[in-house]
Amino acid sequence: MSIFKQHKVFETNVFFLAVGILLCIIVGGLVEVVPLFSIESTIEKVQGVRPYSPLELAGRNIYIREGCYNCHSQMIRPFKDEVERYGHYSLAAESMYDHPFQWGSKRTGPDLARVGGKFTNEWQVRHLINPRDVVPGSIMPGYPHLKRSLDYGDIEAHLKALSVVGVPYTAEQITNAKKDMAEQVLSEAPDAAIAKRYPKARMGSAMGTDKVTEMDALVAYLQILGTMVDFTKVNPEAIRR
Amino acid sequence: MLAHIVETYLRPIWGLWLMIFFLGIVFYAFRPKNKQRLEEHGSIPLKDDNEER
Amino acid sequence: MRNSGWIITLAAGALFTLVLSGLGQDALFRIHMGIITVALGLAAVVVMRRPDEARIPAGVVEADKAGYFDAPIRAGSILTVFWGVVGMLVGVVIALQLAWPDLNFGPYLNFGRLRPLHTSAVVFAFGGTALITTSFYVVQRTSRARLINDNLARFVFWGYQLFILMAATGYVLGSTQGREYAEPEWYTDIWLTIVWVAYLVLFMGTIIKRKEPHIYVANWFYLAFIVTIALLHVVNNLAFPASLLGSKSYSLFSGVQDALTQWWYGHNAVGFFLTAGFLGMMYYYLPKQAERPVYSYRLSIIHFWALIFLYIWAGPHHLHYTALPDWAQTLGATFSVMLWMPSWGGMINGLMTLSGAWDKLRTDPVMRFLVSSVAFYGMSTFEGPMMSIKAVNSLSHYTDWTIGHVHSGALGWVAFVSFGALYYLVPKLWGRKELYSLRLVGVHFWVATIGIVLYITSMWISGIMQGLMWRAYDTLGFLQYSFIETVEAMHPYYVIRALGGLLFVVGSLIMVYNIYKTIKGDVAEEALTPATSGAR
Repeated sequence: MSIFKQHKVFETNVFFLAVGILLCIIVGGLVEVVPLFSIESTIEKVQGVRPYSPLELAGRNIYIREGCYNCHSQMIRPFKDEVERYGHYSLAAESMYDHPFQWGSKRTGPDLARVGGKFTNEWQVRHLINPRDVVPGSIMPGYPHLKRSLDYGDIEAHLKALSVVGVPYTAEQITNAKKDMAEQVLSEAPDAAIAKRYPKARMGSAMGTDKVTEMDALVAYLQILGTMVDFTKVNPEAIRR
Repeated sequence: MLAHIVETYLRPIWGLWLMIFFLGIVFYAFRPKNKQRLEEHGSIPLKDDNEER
Repeated sequence: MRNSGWIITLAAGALFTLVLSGLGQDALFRIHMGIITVALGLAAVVVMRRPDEARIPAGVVEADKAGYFDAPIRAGSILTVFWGVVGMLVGVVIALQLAWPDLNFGPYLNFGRLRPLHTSAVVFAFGGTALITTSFYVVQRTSRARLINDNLARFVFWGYQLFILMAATGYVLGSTQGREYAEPEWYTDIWLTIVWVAYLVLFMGTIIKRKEPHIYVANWFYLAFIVTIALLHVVNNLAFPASLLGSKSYSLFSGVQDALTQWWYGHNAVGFFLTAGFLGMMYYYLPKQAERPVYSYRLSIIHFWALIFLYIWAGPHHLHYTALPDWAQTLGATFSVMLWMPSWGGMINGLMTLSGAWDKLRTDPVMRFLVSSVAFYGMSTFEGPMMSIKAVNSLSHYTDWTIGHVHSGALGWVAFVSFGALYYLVPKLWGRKELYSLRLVGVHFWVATIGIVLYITSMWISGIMQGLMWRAYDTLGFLQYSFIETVEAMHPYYVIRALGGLLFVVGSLIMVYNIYKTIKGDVAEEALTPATSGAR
C-alpha cells in the first residue's frame, strides 16, 4: 500500500501541506456556495422589488454606518409567532439588491424587515432622537446627530458603483440621482418624477424642514423596508420552499 | 462548467467520498508500522530547549 | 543611521496617506487617512529615537543574535496583553450600555459603533496578535531555524498592528462594510491582504529552511489558519468602491448569496482563526509546560484533516430558517454536528497529555490555564453542534444564547490558552528564571473563571428566556409578550453579564501587573508551600 506513504509528503514538504489544506477548504466552498449562484430557484420570482431610491440608499448607508445591524435583524423566519409579530416571512427576492445584505444575527431590538409603514415619519424621528421618549423601556441609543444635513454630492458615483455590481439602475436614474434625492424630501406631489422612477418611495420631509438631513434618509429607508412586494398579489405556490 | 461538475458528481455522493477520504487518513495514521515514527514526532517541541541557551 | 530604511519607508508612507487625506472625496476618508498619517509619522519618530536592537534585554542578547529572532515576539507579548485589556474593557462598556442605555455617548461611542470595536479588538487585535506572536515563536523552535528575514518579520508584525489601528479608528468614525467580523472598509482590507501574503511567505519560508525533518503538527494548524484566512478574507471582502478616494464600497454579492458568503467567512473565522490557530498554540505550549509529548501524535493528524475539512461547510447553520435554500441549511447543520468529533479529538489529545501527571494541575497554575482552556474548548464545541440543530437553533438564534456560546469559546478557550502561553513565554523571552508570582497567576485564574461562569450562565438564562417569550401565546391565542417586555426582562441578566465581564478584566489586570514585574526582573517573596513549589 504505497499510496499511504504519500502522507509523508505532507509532513515534510510545506508546499504539499499548503495545497492539501487549500484543497480541503475549497471543496466545501465549491459544493456549498457555488450552486447558490447558479441554481435558479434560489431567488423567488415576485413583482415589486426595485433598487433603492438615492435617498433610501443614503439612509441604508447610515443604517450600516451606525451599526444598526448589530441589534436588528431583517429576516423574518417562517414561524407562526414571527409572522404574527412582524409580518410575512422574508423572501430571498426581497434582498436581491442589498449590497451588502443586512439580515443580521441578533435581535436585541425587534426585526425590521417589514418595519416600513408601521409607524409615521414623526414617530420614527422622535424615536431615533431619543427612543425612550416613545418607548420607555427601550435600551436603544439615541441618534440626535442625524439631524445634520446629508452630504450627498457624490451620490451619482454610488449608484454607478452599485450598477457595476449588478443593481439594474437605469441611465436615467443615475443622471437624476442628485435631483431625485432632493425631490423625495422636498416634493409632496404624488406624480413627481421620483415617484415614477421609484414606486412606493415615501415622499416628504421627516424633519419638516426644507433641507435634506441624514434623518430624512434613514427614515425613508426604514419606511420602504418590506413594503416593495405586495403579498396580497403573490401566489403562495411560487414562493413555497 | 465547474458548477456542472459539482452539481452532477460531487454533491450527490459527498457522503461517500468524505468517508473514503476520512478512512484513508485513519488507516494511514493508525497503521502499526507508522506508530513509532509518528509518535516520535510528538517530542519535537521538547527537543529545542537544549539549543535555546 | 541603522534604521534609515525603515524611517524612509515610514515617512514615505505618511506622505502618501497625507496626500490621500488631502484628495479624499468624503470627510470620513480624509479624517481616516489623517489618522494613519499621524500614526506612521509617530512610528518613524519612535524608530529614529529607539533602534530596535537597543531594546533586547541584556540576558538574552546572545540567544537573539545567534539563533532566533525574538524582538517582534517580545513586542507581541506586550501588545497581546494590551489589546486584550482594551478589547475586554470595551466589552464591559457595551455590556453596561445594554443594561443602562444612558451610557451611550453618540455618535462615536454608541453601541452600534463600539460593538464591532469590541469584537474586532478581542478577535483580531488580541487573538490575532497572540497568534502571530506565538506562531513566530513556535515555528522557529520546532523548525530549529530563524525566521527567514528580520525585516519581513518586522513588516508582518507592525503591518498587522497598523491594520488594527485602521480598523479600530474606522469603526468609531463610522467606516464599516456592515459585515459582521469583516467590518473594515476596502482600503483597510487591501492593506491586510498585503500583510497576510507577507505572513504566509515568512511562515512557509521558515518551514522550508528548517533543520527538523518533520513539520511539527502545531505548524500545520498555524499554516491552515494562515492559508484559510487569506482565502476567506479575500472572497468575503470582494467589493467595488464608490470612489478610489472614498471610504464607501459595495459588496460584489447581494442578498442571499452575500449572506452565505459572509457566514461561510464568519463561521470559518471562528474555525480557522479562533480554533485552528489556537490549536496550533495548544499543541506547542501544552506539551511544553507539561514537559511531556502530546498524548497521541497520530490522533492529532486525524483530527487536523477532519477538522479543516469539516469546518468549511458549517457556515449555513447561521442562516437556519432564513431565505437561504433548505438544502444548504441541511448541509450546514449536518457538517456542524459531525464537527463535534474532530473537535473532541483535539480536546482529548490536549487533556490526556496530562495523563499520569495530573498533579501538575494542582501545583502549576499556568498548567491550570492551559488545561482549563482545552476543557472549555470541549464544552463550547459540544454546545456549538447542538445549537446548529435546526430545532434548537429556532429557539437560540437571534438571542443572547449565541452571545454566551461565543464567549464560552472566546474567554474560556481563546483567552485562557493565550494567557497560558503568555505566562510561559514572558520569563523565557526576557531571560528570567521564573514568573514574578505564581500565586497571582492562581488568583487570575479563579477571578477569570468566576467571570466566565457569571457571563455564560446569565446569557444562557436570558437567551432561552428571550426565545421562549418571543414564541409564547396567551390562552386567547395572542402573542403573550410585546417585544419591549422581552427587552425589559433581560435587564438583570445584562447586569450580571457586565459583572462577569468586569471580573474577567480584573483578572487580566492582575496578569498585566505580574508580567510587568516579571519583565522588570522581580520575584515575589512567596512562601514555597508544597502547592506552588512543585512547579518550580
